[in-house]
Amino acid sequence: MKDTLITGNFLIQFFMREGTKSADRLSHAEERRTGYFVDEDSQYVALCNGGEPRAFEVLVRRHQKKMFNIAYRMTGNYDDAADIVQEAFLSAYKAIKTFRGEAKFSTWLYGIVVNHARNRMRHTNSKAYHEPVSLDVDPYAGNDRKPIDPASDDTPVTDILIQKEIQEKVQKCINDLEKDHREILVLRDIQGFSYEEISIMLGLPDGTVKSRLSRARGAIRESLKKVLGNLR
Amino acid sequence: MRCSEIEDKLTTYLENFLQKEERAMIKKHCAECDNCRHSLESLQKTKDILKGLDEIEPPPWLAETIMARIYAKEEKKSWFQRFFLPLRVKVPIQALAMIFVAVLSVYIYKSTAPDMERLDRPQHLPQVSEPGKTVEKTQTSQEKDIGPEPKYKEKKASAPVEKGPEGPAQEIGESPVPGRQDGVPAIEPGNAGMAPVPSEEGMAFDHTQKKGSAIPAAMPPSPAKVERYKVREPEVREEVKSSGYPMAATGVSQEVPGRITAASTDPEDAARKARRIMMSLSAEEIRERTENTSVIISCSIDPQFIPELKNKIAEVALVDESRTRIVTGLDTPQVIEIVIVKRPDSP
Repeated sequence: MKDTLITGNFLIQFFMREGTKSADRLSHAEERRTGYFVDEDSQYVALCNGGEPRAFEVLVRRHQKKMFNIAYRMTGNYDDAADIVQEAFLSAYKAIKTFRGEAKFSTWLYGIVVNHARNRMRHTNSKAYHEPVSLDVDPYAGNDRKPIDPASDDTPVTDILIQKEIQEKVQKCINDLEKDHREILVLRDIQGFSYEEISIMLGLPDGTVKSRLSRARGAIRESLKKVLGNLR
Repeated sequence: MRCSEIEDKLTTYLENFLQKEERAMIKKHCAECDNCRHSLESLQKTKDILKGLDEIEPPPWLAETIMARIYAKEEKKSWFQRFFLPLRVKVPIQALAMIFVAVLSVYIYKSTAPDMERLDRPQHLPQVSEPGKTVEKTQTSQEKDIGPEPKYKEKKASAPVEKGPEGPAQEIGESPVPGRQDGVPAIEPGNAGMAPVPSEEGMAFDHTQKKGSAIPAAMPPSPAKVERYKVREPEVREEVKSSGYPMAATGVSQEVPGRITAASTDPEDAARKARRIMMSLSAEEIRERTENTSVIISCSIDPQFIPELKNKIAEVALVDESRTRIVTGLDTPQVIEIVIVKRPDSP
């Protein structure tokens, strides 16, 4: 096991230093090896620490979707989410030397994006408070741009539209929640992280995570009831 | 268990974190209580709705943009790093550079300092020796006109005679000065110089004769000689005060038989003029040095010009007769010192 790890690391380093291979090809090469590692990101993190920015591309491609979804669900804005993810990745790259491997790299990374999203929310909230809302602008205009994975080819168009409408309503309910409730619902119910991971990301004790989740669920339930009617 | 308590535990129930007994109790309660059952169902539904939200695809350019920004930063950083190395590298380099600079500066200081000292003397030497040479030339031409060279050599040979410690007959204070002025043309042939040579000079004569012939007139004085002048200066002054004829009294002062002391408000300016006068009188080995506020100029001059020198100096500065001593009746070049002291108030 240890030998394989060393060989794997050597090969990856060799490929990375060669400089001619694309990050995509590297990604495929690496993916065949992922099964060997508890944290499949660790070797790329090590390469990044060794001053190899190309290794970071693998990490970006691997985690960008989840990062983007966390940011999007927390802010409810597609463009903001893209910005947040960029900033979060840049911060992560800058601070990658401080990552000590106590938790999984992904957990550390998602913690960064949650932080950035939280900061953005604080910023936009204060901005929204001070700036007058224009009545000419469609508040849902931005949401038309988000490509949603079709549920199935067989799903009737009407069902898709209904589903899309419901999803937008749910997102609006999330947006209306308190910041603390919003992030815990996104991490637990939408992204499905474990309590342990959430407590690491948010820097909160387990008990607080549980009680906060309980209150957040109660709050979103009441909000959804108003929008979607009786939830049965 | 009350409904409110059940309500609090519904989330934990849905998360499967409860003990078996509690789970069974809640299950039993919800089967009986409609409110709690509805609450549980709505919570489950809420959870399902949230879980069922679609994953959003990030913009296709996201990864590229991120990487482009990282590469740009990396490039900037590497450029930046060339100038600002990490501290672990920078600090030792800076320390070494500091030591190098310190050592270099000490070395440069040490190596240039002697040069500076050396530069001090040549400042006078070229000034003096160059005109000296020209003076020498003119002098020799004059001599050719006036008389034959061998005579001059004779003068040279007999010169030390008067310098002898026991030769007071030749030294005259104030009174002989005008007499000597009159006798200037008479001295020229050398007979006047030869006549007063006392026969009892003996040993001193031989000794000084050798010395006189060994040192040519044009030869620049050795540093030791200059040093001797300096050392002798204060004692000479004291003797001037006491006896008026210090050179004769001391056995060492054979080489400075004459001295003209003059006072001027601007000793430096007076010294400049005195030098010019000396040069005009074909003086050689003109040396100038400063002691406190007074300027001392020494030169080797033909004795026939000494009275003229004194007169000309008197035009430039106020000659102190009590501290002036001139030897007459010699016919070899004499070393004479002109001491120009600073006069506090203008006349």
